[in-house]
Amino acid sequence: MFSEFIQNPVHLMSFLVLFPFFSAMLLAWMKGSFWQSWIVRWSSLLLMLTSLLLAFQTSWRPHLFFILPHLHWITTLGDLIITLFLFWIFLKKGTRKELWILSLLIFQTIILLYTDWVLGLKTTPFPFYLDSFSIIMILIIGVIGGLICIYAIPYMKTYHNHHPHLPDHRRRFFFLFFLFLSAMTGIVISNDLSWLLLFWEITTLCCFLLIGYADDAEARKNAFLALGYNLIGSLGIVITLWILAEMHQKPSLTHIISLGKLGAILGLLAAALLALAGLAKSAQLPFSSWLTGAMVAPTPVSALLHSSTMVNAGVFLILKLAPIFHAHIALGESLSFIGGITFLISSIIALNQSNIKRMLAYSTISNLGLIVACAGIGTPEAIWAAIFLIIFHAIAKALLFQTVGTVEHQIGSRDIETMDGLWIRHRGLTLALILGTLGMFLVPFGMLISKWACLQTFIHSSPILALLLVFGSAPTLFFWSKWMGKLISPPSTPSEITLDSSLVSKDTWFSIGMLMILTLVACFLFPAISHFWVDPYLGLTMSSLGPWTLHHPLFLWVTLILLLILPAGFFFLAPSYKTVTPYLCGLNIPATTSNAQFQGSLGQIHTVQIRNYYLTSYFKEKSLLKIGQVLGIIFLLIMILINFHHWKLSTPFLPPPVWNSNSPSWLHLGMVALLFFISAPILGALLTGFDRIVTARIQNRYGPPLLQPFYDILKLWNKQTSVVNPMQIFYVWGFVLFMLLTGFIFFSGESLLLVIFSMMLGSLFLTLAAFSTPSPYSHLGAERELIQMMAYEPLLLLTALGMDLSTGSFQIQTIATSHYPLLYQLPGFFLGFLMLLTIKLRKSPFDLSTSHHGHQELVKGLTTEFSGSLLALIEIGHWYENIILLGILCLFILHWPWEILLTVLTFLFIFEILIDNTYARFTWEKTLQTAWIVAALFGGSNLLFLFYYHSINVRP
Amino acid sequence: MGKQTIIPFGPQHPVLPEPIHLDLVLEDEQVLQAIPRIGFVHRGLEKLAEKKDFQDMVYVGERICGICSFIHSVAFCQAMESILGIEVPERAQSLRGFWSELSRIHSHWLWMGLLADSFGFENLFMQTWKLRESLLDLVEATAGGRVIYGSCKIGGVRRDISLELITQAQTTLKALYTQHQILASIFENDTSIQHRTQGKGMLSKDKAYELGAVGPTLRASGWPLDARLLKYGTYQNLEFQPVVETQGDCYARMRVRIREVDQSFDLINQLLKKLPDGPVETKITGMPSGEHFERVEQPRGEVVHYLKGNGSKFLERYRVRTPTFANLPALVEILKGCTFADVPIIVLSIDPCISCTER
Amino acid sequence: MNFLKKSPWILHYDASSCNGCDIEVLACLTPIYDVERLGIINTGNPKHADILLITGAINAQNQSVVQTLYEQMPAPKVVVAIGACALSGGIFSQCYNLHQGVDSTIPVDIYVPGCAARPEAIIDGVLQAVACFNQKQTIRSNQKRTSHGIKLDSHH
Repeated sequence: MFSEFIQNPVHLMSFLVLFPFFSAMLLAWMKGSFWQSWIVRWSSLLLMLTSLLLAFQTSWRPHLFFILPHLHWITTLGDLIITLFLFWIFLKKGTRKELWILSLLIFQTIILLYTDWVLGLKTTPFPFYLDSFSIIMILIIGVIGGLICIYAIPYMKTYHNHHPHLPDHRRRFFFLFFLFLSAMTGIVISNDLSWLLLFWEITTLCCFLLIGYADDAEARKNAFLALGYNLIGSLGIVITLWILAEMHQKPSLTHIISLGKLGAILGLLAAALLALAGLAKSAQLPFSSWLTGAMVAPTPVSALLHSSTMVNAGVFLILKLAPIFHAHIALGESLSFIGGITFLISSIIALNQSNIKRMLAYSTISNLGLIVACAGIGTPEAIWAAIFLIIFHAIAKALLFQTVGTVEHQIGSRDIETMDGLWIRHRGLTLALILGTLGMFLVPFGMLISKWACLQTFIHSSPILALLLVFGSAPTLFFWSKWMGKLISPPSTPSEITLDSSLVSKDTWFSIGMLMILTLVACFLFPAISHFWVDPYLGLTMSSLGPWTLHHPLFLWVTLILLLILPAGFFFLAPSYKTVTPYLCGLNIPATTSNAQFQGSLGQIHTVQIRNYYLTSYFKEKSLLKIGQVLGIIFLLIMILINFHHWKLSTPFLPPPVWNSNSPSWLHLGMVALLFFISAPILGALLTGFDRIVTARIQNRYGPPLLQPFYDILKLWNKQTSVVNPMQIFYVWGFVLFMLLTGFIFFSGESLLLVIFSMMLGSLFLTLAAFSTPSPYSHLGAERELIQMMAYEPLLLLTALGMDLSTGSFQIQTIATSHYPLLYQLPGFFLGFLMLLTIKLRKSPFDLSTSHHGHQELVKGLTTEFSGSLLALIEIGHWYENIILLGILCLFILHWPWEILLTVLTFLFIFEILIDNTYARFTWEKTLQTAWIVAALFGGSNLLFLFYYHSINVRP
Repeated sequence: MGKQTIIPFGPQHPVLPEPIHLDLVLEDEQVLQAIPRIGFVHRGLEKLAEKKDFQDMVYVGERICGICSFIHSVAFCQAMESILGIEVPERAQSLRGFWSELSRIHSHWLWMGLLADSFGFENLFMQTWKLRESLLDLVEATAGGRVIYGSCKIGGVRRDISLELITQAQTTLKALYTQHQILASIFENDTSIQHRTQGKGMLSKDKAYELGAVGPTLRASGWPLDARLLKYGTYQNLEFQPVVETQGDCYARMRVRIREVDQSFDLINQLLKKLPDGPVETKITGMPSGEHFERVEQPRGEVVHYLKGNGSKFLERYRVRTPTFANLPALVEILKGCTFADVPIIVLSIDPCISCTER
Repeated sequence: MNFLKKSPWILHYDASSCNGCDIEVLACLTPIYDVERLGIINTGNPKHADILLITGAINAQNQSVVQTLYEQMPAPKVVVAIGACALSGGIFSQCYNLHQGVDSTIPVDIYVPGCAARPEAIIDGVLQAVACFNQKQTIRSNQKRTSHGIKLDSHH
């Protein structure tokens, strides 16, 4: 009996819907916090196990439908109950300002009743289905949702201790949590739109009540906002139902998809309307403000909304419809643009946020934007990327929100600025935060893998989206890194140093620990996830498979392993060092060594305080949001109205990138690695020596000998190494190691994108090294370095995209063996890359963060606090970096004879030196502006030209 | 937003050739507050007047600052000569004018180089200082020192220059003038320099007057005020108009100094053409008794030397009000609201001489 | 081989100089003298520097600054006092605010006289300081050998 139960996916699935519902009822009924915790804990565990079981049961079966007759009346009844309930709440709590929500509610109910009773909805024979995408969603809901429930037990206890004035509605809270999970599971398995609508409305309702949990004016306002926007969304579903009923069509998703694929107006319109519902639910522009408003709710609610439920429902629905968007480019493109614009604008806005929860919220919105953009493109690769985005995002965001919530309870603030020195104050939580952050934007981790796939997809289907993605990821890098910098920097005052870690309960650690493990495991296992769940889904819907290039994650794993063993290496191999005070222009107060204090102008003692950059003078949240909303509304209208017009747009999709499967032998790889390891520093040093001589000659000086850089390095290596914080050593080694790895990847002919991501990881280590000191000048240097990275990242990514468009592959091996110099096709990218080279070689006018010239307002910026062997290592790391960059530069002109190639390279290098000597240093605003304009203008126009040129040539 | 960045800027800082300290309060890179602190170079040399013979004090006066050194000694000597009632020979006055203007050119070139360095234009720094070296050679040939001339004394100057040297000087100066024009055009027309200086550190005409700014800082805000208009010494025989700019930003202050170099070349030309013959010093008689208040134009603006003698060989009181001291209130004013990257440029734009200020 | 000889990096601090020696130190970097041909770089940062050039005498305000800068420089390090004031207070030695020469505060290895010291003299002083390193390096490596495996830092 039992074994039969667990072997039948139908039973398991029904259990997953009904069991949380049952738990919810139980929780609503039970009193006493012991039983409450007990039920929550064990129900969550059971939920997690069942969803895992279901996942393994069905991983080989692509598609299942369920018959469920005679229960259709439940949907109508449920909808009516929800409407009446909302009506009642509105009368009790609503204000005049929220009247539009009431009218929306009434309007929606009227249509629904008309559809149901007057027109009479056709019933779907198979109201539920289960495919591997649903399974993935069920896993996310079950496992991550369950973990969040467990996390919520101690959190809510502390929450009520911190807010004694609030009435304790924990029973209601947990009831809503489980109801939410039940409804979410319902959404991902509904085929019939009326069932979908019922579950959809339940999630809206739960979300509304949870946001309004504190029941003060602010909470109420934001809860109503969320309700209003989501009702606009569900209006989309209601109207779809109505139209389908008018046209006597079955209200099932599969039917709509098949209609849409054929290009029937009805199908397209339904897809657009359902997409509207999805957009509102996943807080895309112009609806984004409800999600940022939802931050007033207790943190488990945010975690739930952002990772496993609510917003995921929106993107899930949109992604379901992806085959339609794929077939109908106009509809798909306008949807993608909404996603793309949301991605760009909200990641820029996230720069401004000092409230960590708001920053996380904008990051969620931007990532959901990316998923929507992928769905709009709708190619198998895009869907692959989108599904992985959902998975990795859910894990990382749940981890981040939970940890942030715990930290907030510990330090009593959610302001990023109060989190300095968290690494010293609370190791465990900081580790969780750092892992979550790494998971969001760095190379071996999930989000970046998905972004990588996105880039590969976008460049072959929509160049403008690729541009939006490229520009949107740059701010992402900035705001995550600076937050990480804050976490690892030493605390500003010693009194803050200790936090009581015993206050973090076991439930919290369980939940956070599980998520940390999941973050790592997901990175190792993503090929398996792809093979067992994502590829079957793609095979089913698109009769295709995911991107091939990512099935060989050798270097990803190498990166991950390096990241994991680096700390261990640090503890065993740390060199001897001396701890000194940070550089404070000589004004240090002698007594203090651990933190930085100096004698101020008026005789008082100042402790050095360093506030992160928020770039509020340059990017302004309000105006950006306004622009985003206007653009969002415009594209929304286009998306709906465009279906009435029969545009026969042919699809300009280019063939997917070529994967060169003859992987090089280990021996070959080893040789390359060794060669790079030895020759790159020598070459880099000679180049630097040459640079210094040419510079001296330009300046009418004689200059140092050619071998001077060697002397400098050897001298530094033999000097005493003094540090302010021993962690500096770790980060510097990280920088050098990842630059080395980048070189291996490059010279073994792997993907150019991987080279770029790995290089970014290396550069990040350098900024972290600067952040880990309490020195103001190295902090400002690090912030400026991040601004520089933000400035040049689009240029770097565009270069890779351009090479791919020209040669049809990201593989350096393929690029290097192209039949013509890429320069002929990529002049714009080439110019952009030269600009990037100027920034990376730290040449004036872009030597913002650290400069070869002694005199700079930041002293030495990034490298201020490094001496002896560490400084030597940084310099060597830069040489590796320079050689890689010159290698990429070579790719442009590789086809020329070597003597011409060398001449051109020398000429270009001298040209860079000349630039260095004929410009005053720019401000960071001007640097960012120049780099982005160059990227958009030269890179963008070249990209568009190339894309359309190729799409004309490809078409028969 | 509660938290702000608080960092020390100076006394040891690579962009500051001299120690001054600023407490900078920043938000991003916006400077919200800049509180200066001085005193790192204070020696208390005015008090030395009570211990050193008034004739020896010329050396101390010259070492108030190594950049405006010669003009300090001129101011001291002129004040002393007024107290003692000594008439300085005309040739000596002209030679003082000659060296004063040379030192002004040297100071402005030095400043232009430092400015270029402060906005990261290393090449321009090198070129400007290379030019300055040629000028220093001329100074060494005529006065005997590179930065501390030591050629001014009470009652005249310590050494005369030969006709041959004068002709040589004229040729050298002609060549330097041409090279200065090339440099000037780079400073004035380079877009990246304009980007860093235009609109930065605005000092309005009223504020400049109200805060008591002097010298190029004042003239760049539209005031045609110059202590040389008092026609002391040789300036009574020379024709010139103060260089005035109206914008009041760093660019304007830079332009004023660049044009003042032109003006100094012109003044030296005039002066060497009608260099009178005669002795270069007169004998000092008596002990100083009484007080005098001497105003002289330095490269950085008007300097005031106040001397009070009591009939002994030690002065009773010696007091110097230096131009940078007068310009500091203006500096604090223009630093507000600038960005961190502009701090060095704005600080330099008043051409601070901390050694003068703190004595 | 001792590479300190080939790449001495300097930190210049103006203690209470009249600027005369300071601008001569700066002039050493410029085309006529061009100390970079000897591998010398003006770092402006104590943590990168090998040689501390001090101009001017020590006064009450800057004494702690000079001390801090000296302490922050990694070993081996050499101090060069430049100009009459840095040597003994020079013409200002009688001033009430001065603690006389630099050696009143930190150990000085090389003294460069002059008022103002000429660039040639300053360069010569730096090169003599470089020669000093040989001795210091030997002392340091001896120390290193005796304290091998023990972190140099007592604070840690």
